[in-house]
Amino acid sequence: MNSSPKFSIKNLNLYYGVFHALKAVEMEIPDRNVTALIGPSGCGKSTFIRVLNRMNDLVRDCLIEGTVLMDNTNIYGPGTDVTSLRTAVGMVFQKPNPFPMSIWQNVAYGPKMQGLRNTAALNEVVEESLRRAALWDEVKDRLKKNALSLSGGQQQRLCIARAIAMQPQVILMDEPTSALDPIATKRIEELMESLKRDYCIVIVTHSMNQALRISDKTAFFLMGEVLEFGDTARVFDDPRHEETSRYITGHFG
Amino acid sequence: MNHGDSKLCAPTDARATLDDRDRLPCEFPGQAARPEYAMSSSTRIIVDRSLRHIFRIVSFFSVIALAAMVIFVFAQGLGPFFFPTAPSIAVVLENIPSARINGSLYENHRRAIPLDPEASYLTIEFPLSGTPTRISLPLYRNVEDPGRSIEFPPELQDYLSSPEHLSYTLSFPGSLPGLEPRIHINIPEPPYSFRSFITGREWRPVYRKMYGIFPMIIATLLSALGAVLVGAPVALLSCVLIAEFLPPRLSAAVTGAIELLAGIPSVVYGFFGLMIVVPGIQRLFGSASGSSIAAAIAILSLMILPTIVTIGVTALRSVPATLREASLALGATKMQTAWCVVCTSAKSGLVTGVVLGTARALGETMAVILVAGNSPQIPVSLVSSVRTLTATIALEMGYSAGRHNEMLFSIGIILFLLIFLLNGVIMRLRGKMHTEVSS
Amino acid sequence: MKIERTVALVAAMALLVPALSFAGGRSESGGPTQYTIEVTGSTSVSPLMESFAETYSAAHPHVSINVSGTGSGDGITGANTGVAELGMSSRSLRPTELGFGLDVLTVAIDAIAVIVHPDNPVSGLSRDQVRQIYTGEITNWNQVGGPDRPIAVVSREPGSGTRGAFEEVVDFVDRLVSGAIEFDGTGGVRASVAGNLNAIGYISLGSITHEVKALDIEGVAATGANVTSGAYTIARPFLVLYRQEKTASETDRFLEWMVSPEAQAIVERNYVRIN
Repeated sequence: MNSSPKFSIKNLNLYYGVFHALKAVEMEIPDRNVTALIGPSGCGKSTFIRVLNRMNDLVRDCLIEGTVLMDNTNIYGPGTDVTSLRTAVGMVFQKPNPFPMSIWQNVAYGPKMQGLRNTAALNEVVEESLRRAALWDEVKDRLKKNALSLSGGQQQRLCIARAIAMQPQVILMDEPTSALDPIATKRIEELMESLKRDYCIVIVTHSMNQALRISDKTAFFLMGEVLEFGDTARVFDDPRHEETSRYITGHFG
Repeated sequence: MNHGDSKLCAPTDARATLDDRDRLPCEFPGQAARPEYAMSSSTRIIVDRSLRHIFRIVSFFSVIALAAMVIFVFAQGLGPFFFPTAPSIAVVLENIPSARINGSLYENHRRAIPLDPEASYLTIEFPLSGTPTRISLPLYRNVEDPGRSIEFPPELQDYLSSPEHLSYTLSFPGSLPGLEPRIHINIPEPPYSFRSFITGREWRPVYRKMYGIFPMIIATLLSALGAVLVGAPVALLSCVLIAEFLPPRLSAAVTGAIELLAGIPSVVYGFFGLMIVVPGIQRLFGSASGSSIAAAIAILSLMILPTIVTIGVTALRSVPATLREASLALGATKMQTAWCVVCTSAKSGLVTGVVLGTARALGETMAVILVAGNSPQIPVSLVSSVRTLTATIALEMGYSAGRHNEMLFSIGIILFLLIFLLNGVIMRLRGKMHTEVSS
Repeated sequence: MKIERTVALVAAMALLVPALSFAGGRSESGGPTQYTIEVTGSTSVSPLMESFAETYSAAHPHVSINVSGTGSGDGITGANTGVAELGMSSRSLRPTELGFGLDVLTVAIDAIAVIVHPDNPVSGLSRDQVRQIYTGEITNWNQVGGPDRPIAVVSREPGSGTRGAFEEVVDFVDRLVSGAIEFDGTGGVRASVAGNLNAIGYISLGSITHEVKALDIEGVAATGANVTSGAYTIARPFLVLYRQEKTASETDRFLEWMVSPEAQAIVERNYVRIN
């Protein structure tokens, strides 16, 4: 395991107007691992994941204090190029959101926006990304078809392929399986298992089982605070806080 | 009240109100009536059904009204291509109290006297300055040039004049000035060929009875096309700015202003054009007059802006925010996101806006009349004065009579077909995009 | 089923009946003898007819006169079909229209003035020059003694009474130069000429304002006196059309009044009186 963390977050405070959404968050997210963020609705875990690729910049009246170091560089420091940060930190959303274009165009979109125009190179990127997202065999004959014609699970894998096409270092996943059926969920989980060999993966999930199955580290969020953070096995077997254990066992949420 | 019962009851009710209209709702067995609900379920059914009948009656009336309008326009407008203006040659007597025409006596007759369509002679006997006079004119049927269906002998040429095509007047010297005896002979216009209507270049409806609308068709298409070429790009850029880049409050204010612009009566645009644009174009080009196709295009492109912008902004705003997020999360800039994702996703709405804008440009009347100059000629330059199809109808409707009037309805049919064609295009485009998305 | 249909029908009627009743004719308020004369037709005759209506209604309160200026063609058709009791025309009837057998009353003579922008130095033209301008043989003001500027020819639309009369008197029937600007209504022509130094147009003498300048034709100014004397020849009659056998007695009296000295005094303010 890599010794230096991918992200190291120090004293992070985030406000939406007057609402204090994240309170003094401290966390070190390791590389080539799956880190799961759990907690009841509205606890700030989705807000936190969006801190990591600065998607909160799009929210008006959002104020962020503290430092977020990625490979020892403050991503909120002056001179950070947000778009290049986002190419390094890919994101997959709760609902599959492929663009209403062809499958090929969806995957090629990111590299194209970075200026890659060579069709042969793009073809290569598309095939490689689809393979890694375990979708290539299903769609290789219909790359020109509209992405919306795929099933929900396929769409979500397409979104992962779209993120992989950027060759990111980190993949953020915001409840990626909550809109999918169990079989599709299983395929995504298998995919994550194989992806974590190369990427740092951060996932928000509402499913305790999922967190337990796939993650190496788990953070429990409550009311904007990180109540507990550590190895998944430790958090689930021996929670240090009573709230954590009550949440994990399903007594509140 | 327990949960299970109401759950069971709901589908029964829904079915009864929606499609099972002939079966009265039966109370669900075991479901007690609930007095706290003011409306009993049978009242609800009656209200629903009554509303359904109201919808039917009202839509029936609107369908009838629309159909009546279309039938009226077609009935009026198709006439000139199938029927002559009158079944036969007609004679009108002026200041001739008594005359015998083809044997029948007419006393103080001022209305047109139709001849027998089979007659081969027109014989008129009347007293002229006291002396009985007899005029006999041979008639020819089925001649190529209807003007030659009557022949005037050389001795009558001094009295003969033709005030307009297919009308002949014989004026004789009379006792008092202004009371000269006159005989007017009106030859019916034969059915007009649809081809010469569409391709004819002369619109001389009054005296020469030529009804060619080709210049107007060209002017209509060119001015609409010009307006779209100028107006649509501007409108689309404004759409993107308003929907993607302006802060919400400013965007709402701008949208409101543009909607207001859409509500301004077209005559106001026309007035603005007449006062500002027309003199401006005259100065710019140094032409005799600024009333021209360029002025029409300028005003029309201004007028279609609100149409395209309102529809376009609505289309862009309805693109799900998750798509923008997805694009931004891939490291695309806001500008790339706006063009490559938002505009692509809203393609169908944007195209609809442009097509509706085109339809507005095609149908616009008042503003165009004020600025285009209304000359029925094929434009040769930007400063040519032109007349559109709608302008012709509006200009001449009050002044026309007979076939001229019917021809204005025929122009209405042409406009109808143009719009029909445009709707066909929009349907096709939509269908194409739809299959692209769904297949 | 019946109940719902009845309810629906009644409700629909309640919606439709007020809408329909708007279309239903004139009000009968103001006593049983109230009578409305509908007059429709030429936009050139309308201003005169409105002054007639005002004066006549003031003296005969039970008669109201509705004047609508739509066009000579409309006036003749309206009188023929009975849509209006009286039709107005600013041109003589065409051969087919003569066949309607309408009664014709001439109520005034109107000169047609040839107008230009007030700043145009040209003050007079010959009748031939006017014709040549309107048929496109003369295209620059310097050909008729003016500055070197193109001529913008402004005309009325086909079917207009003023245009018909003008083309007949100046003798270029249906030979208007292609590219001439056409406007409907006297006001449109006047506004167009008033706003363009290059323009030439023609309107009823009674509608001249200080915004435009009337040209002398063959050296004769466009005035009522010159029309009466016969020196100014571009003139046409104002006609009222009706059917003797169908007009009401109130209308007959109004027709009689229009040729009375009282009415002709009104005519004289802007037009030329008859006889």
